[in-house]
Amino acid sequence: MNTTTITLQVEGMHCGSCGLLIDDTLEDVPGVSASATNARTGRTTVTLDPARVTPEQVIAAIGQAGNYTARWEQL
Amino acid sequence: MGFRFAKGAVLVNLAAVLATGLFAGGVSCAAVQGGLLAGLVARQRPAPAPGTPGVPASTTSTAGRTPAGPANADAAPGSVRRRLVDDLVPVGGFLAGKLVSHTLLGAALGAVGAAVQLSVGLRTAAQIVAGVLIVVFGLAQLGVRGFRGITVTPPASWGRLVRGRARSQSVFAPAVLGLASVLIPCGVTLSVQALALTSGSPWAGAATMAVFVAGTAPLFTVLGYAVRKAATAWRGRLATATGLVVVAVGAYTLNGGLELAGSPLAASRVAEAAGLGPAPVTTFAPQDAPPVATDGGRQTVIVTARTGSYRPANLQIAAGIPTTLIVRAAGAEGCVRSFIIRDRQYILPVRGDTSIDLGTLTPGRLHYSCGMGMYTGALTIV
Repeated sequence: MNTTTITLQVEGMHCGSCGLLIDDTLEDVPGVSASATNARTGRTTVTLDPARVTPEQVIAAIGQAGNYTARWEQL
Repeated sequence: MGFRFAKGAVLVNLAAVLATGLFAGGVSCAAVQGGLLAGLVARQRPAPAPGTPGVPASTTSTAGRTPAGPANADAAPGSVRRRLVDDLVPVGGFLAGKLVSHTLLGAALGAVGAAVQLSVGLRTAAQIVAGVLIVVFGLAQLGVRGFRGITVTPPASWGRLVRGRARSQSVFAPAVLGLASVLIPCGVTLSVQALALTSGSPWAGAATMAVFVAGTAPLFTVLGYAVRKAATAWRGRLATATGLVVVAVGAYTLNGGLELAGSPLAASRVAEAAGLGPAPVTTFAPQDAPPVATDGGRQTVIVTARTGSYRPANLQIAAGIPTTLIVRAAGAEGCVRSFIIRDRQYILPVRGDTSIDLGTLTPGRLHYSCGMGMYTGALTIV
C-alpha cells in the first residue's frame, strides 16, 4: 500500500478532547491509517493511502467531526 | 486539624457549579466527549445496509456519528423506541462512569485542599491562584482575544488511553470511556476541579465534581450525543453562557482570596473606598448582642456569627484600652465557623463564645473574614 502524510491546520479546537475526537473520526475513514492531532498547535498529521482517500475528503471528515475548519498548512 | 466547611459556603458554590454544568453539557469537552461516545456506539453496532437513512453518503464509515435515535426519527415507531433505549443505555453508562471518576477526583482534590488549609497564608494563596485560573479559563471559553488560544492538552499517553477505550467492543466500554474521561479535562472542567480543591473537605470536593457532572447530563445527552450536528446555533450561545458563569465563579473565588489577604482590591475594600460601605458603624450592637462593654478598664466587644453573616458588620470601639473580642456563634454553619482576624484562624463552635484577646488597639480599622473570604466585617477603632 502506497501511503503519504499530510499536515492540516485545524481551527475550532479548544481542548484535548477535540484532538481525540478528530483522530478518532479520521481513523474510521477508509484509507486513513493514522492521525495525530495536537490541540495546542492546531495541527493534524494524517497518514493516508492516496488511492483510497483524498486530502479533501479528510478535510470534509474533520468538518463532520464537529465545529472545526481544516485547511492545508501554509508553509 | 482539618476544618470541615459545612453547608453554607459549599451550597453557594454548588449552585454555581450546577449552573456551569447545565450550560457546559452542551459545549466544551463534555460535548466533544459525546462525539467519542457516538463513535464507539456506531462501531459496536452492526453496519446498516447501504442506503439506510442516517448513513452518510461519504467515504466514511462512522464519520457522520450522529447515532441512531431521536435525530433519525424517520424509522418505524417501534424501532425508534428501541433505538432510543439503545442510545440511552450507553449514554447512561458513560455518565455513570464519568460521575464515579470525577467524584473520586473531587474527593481527592478536596482532601488535598483541606490539608493545605492548615495554614491561613497557604489557603489564601491557593484561593487566589484558583480564582485567577478559573477567570482565565472562563475568558478562554468566551473567546476573548489573548485568551482564545489557551487550550488544555493532557499528556499524549492519556489521550491514547482514552481513545483505546473509545475503540473497545466491550459491553462496558461506554462506562469505561466515561471513567477515562477524567484524564482529558478542558478549561471548564479544570475550573470546577480548582473549586473542588478550595472546597475545604473531601466531601465538599466530591459533591462539587458530582454536581458538575450531573449538571452536564441533560444537554450532553441531547446536544453532545443525540443531535450533535444540528446543535451548532445553540452552541454559540451556550459557550457564551458557560464562559460568563465560569468567569463569575472565578471572580467570586478570587475575591474570597483577596478578602482573606486583606487586599485593597477585595470587593469589600473597593466598596469602602468608593464610599459604598462597609455597613454604617454601629456604636452599639443590635438586639442579638449586648453593647460594647467596658468593665474594670477592659473593653469587651461581641460579634455574633450566624450562618452567612457576622453582625454587626462594622462595630465602633475605643482605642487605648485592652480589648477582648468575643465571637458569639449562634447557629453558625459553614465557613463562618472559620473566623480569621490578623491572619490567625479561630474555629468557632456552632453555638458558643470564642474569646480573642486583641490587646490595646490603636485608631484604625481591623478587618476580619471567614475562612473563605466570603463573609467579612470590621472593627472601627476610634
